Amino acid sequence: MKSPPKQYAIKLKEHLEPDWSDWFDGFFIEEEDNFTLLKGEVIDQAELHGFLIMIRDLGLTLISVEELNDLPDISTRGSE
Amino acid sequence: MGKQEKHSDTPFTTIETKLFSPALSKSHLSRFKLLKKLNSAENCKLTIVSAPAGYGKSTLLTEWTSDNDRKVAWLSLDKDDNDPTRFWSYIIASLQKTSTNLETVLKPILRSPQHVSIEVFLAELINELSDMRTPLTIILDDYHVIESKSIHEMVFQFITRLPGQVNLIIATRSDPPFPVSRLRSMGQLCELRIKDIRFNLEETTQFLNQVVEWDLSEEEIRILNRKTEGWIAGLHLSAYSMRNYSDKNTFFASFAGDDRFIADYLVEEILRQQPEQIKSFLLQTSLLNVLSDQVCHEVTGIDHCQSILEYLEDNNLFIISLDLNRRRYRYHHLFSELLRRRLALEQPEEIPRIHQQASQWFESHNLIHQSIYHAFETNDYERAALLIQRIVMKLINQGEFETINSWIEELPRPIVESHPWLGIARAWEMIFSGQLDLVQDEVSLISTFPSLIAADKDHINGHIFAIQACLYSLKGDQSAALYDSQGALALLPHDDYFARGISSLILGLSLRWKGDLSAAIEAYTTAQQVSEKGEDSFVYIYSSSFKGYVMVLMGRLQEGYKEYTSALQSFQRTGEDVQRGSPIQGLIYSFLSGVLLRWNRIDQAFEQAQKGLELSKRWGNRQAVHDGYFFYTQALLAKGDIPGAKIAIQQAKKNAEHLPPFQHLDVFFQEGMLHLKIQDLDHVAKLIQNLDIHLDDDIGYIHLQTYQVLAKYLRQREDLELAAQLLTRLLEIAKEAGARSKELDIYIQLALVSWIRKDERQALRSLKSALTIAESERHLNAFLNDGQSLIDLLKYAASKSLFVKFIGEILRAHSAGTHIGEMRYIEGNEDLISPLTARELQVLCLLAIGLTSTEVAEELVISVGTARTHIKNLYRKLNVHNRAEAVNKANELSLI
Repeated sequence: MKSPPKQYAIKLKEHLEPDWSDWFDGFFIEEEDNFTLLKGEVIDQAELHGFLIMIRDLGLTLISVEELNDLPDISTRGSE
Repeated sequence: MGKQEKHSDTPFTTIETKLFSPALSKSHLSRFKLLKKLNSAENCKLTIVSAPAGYGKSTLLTEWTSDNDRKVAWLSLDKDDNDPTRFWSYIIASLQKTSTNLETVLKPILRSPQHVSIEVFLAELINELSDMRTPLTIILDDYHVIESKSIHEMVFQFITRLPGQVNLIIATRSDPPFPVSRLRSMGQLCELRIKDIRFNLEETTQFLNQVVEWDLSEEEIRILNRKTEGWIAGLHLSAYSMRNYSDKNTFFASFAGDDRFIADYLVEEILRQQPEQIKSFLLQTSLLNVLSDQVCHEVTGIDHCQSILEYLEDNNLFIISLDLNRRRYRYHHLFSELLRRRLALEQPEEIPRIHQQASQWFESHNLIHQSIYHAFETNDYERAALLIQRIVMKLINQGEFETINSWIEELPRPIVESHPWLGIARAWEMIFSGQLDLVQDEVSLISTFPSLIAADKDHINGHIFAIQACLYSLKGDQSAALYDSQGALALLPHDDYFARGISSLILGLSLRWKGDLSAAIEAYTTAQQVSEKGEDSFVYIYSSSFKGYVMVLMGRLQEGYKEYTSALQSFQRTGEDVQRGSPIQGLIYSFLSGVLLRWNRIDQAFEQAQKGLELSKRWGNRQAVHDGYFFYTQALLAKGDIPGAKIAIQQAKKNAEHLPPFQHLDVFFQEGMLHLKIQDLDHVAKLIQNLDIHLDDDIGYIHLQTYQVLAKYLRQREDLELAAQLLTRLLEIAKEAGARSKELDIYIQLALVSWIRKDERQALRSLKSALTIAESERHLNAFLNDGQSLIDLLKYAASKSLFVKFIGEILRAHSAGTHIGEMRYIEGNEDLISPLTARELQVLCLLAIGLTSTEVAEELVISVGTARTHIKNLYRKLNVHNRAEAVNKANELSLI
């Protein structure tokens, strides 16, 4: 059984421009005052870890990673 | 269609630049505090230097290395190193650089096929390092690229077992997944973390004053330090960027006012300041993992790329020099990411073009790994598959299975199936990793490939034959192996040293089984020559030792001995002379013991047999262990150590359970010989019955030694007519094969049969044939295994002026040797009113070396109660009351 994709929010300390969206494979970039939120859908844990490694390699500061189960679907891939 | 590469370029050409620390930039700041900390870290087994990209980890370690008397082995890792074989090969290569001579010993182990566990390799590596006298530090840079779980596990094992004078430093962006708490609690872990390694305000001040022309105020320095958070690469870029401003205030206004991700900001800032050509250069070459004048020119079309590269290096911008003569560079990983992002935003249409051109350029310069990388980046699977085909066989040869697997997994199934070489590679991998059950299916699949076009067909079919030959040989079907190895050799091109080497080796093995010994020697010689050209040390060692073995069978002891010793020498390291040996050499030592024994150099033979068995056990290869036991048992028997030989036979049986049935015959032979020696004919009868062999069987060469047991049994039982008939048949077989050593053994038995029948003339005739074979090569031991009657016959022959000198030599060996003790052993035992059983003798030996009854039980795999019963019985038979008395009495009677 394949589990359905999950929504995640990744909170970073640095400010990223919205044009980083492509780099994080379609994640939405939300700029806040003191942090940046990357929100989007990941297929599985492997993809999520891939993002985290990318974040590490860029030297970005990770604040939190959260699963967004209760939020409305924000994915561009559409719901089933 | 994918022609195999010539061997001039091996796929695992060690990329030398990985083994050097990067060059220090002119503007680097010495960091005495950290260097001091690293110096004291020499006492820790593991030091972790952990910080994100651009904090100067490599620079720090480079400075420490250049400022240190310790030997340092440096290895910069990259993503391709996730293959365990490749990873450890690089470790060896880096150690080799420190002039420790490990390669000759360790490489064949890493590359040898069939269940050679990396653990065995690790144990050897630790052993080798333990022998080193000078302190050594191994540095693994960029360890975070390693994702392979098995590598992590082994590196951790490696760390925990490191000898005292060796320590490991790991530079990484994230902590390695090791369970380090134990190391930490033992004070064996040192850590340099971001808080230690980032520039503090003082260092920032010192650095900026050194590289910036303007006088910066304390406040300005504070801003730079705060915004970069002591991130060294950021300070470099800020300083560079500042130089392009007409006054520092404009710079600070822009710098302080922008709160973007600083690395991204600085990259954009610097790109903006560059002339269009350099900017374009930076973006377009960011896709390359290796930069050189030529490849940069290829993808950018810009002339004089070298001067741009040197400009970037001189200004400490983004790139790192990979060698001292400024030929090869790479981007600092962080900046290649940021530049690639800019490229994707500004010139996305260029990306596929650049990958294609890069892939082609690398291909034409024989850098196939890089070429494959770029082909995958544009999803050009067809191209990737063709490129992989070109080097796949060499990767197999090097044991880089993980690399091949990861590539094949990335390819779509239809592409894999339309490229037969990929299937061939998978089949070889199955052979080498012992998944024999899967091989046949894979091979059948390849044969049905529609793409088997004429140009390559023979070569591919040659490989299919070679793979099947290996498969049959491992399963024990010698005639099928013979047929297929011949098929392979007829089809394979002359420069495919890998497949030709293996096929010739298999051909030799199967010819030996068939009894065509001269042809076997020829095949082994070919295997030696081919594997030498292909630098395939595994096949070389094996073909040499089997060749020696066949020579010994043919009675050519001197030549066999030479063959073994030269195979051993091919291993000899040039540096320190450590007498330990490599596990893969075990077989040679075992074979060597066989020759020494024939020369009746029993103590030496025993020593080599022991060493051979021990090495093969360390290797863990069951076949080698099997052969090891054979020669070890033989040596024990020659020494007269019956209990020891019995234990060895039991262990050999256990080991042989996992080998094809025909191998069990070796154990039968030794067990039979042992019981014939101690005159336990009932036991031999049982063995023969169990094996279900009969006089009217059709006997082939491979059964010769089995029926020698039967013949000797018949002779000792005084079924002389039957014995003579069987021996005559065996003699014919041995003669036809040219197995002179076997002929010799059989003539001796024939001579004894006639001697017992009082047919002295016939006895002398057979003995004369035996002595003729034996004299020139000094086969002494063959005459010392049949007790007094053979000695009497020899004396009789000498009295008739036959071979007087040589017989004198045999008789001297007889009276000087352990054979006297051995005869006394039997006689001594018979002196007792009721002789000890074989089991009781075994127990007695174990008591004599000081084992407790519980330990005796363990050693013999019996219950403690049973062991006590044996002890009680043997006390009774010896008429003693305790262990000390028993041992004394046993010595008196020469029972042990």
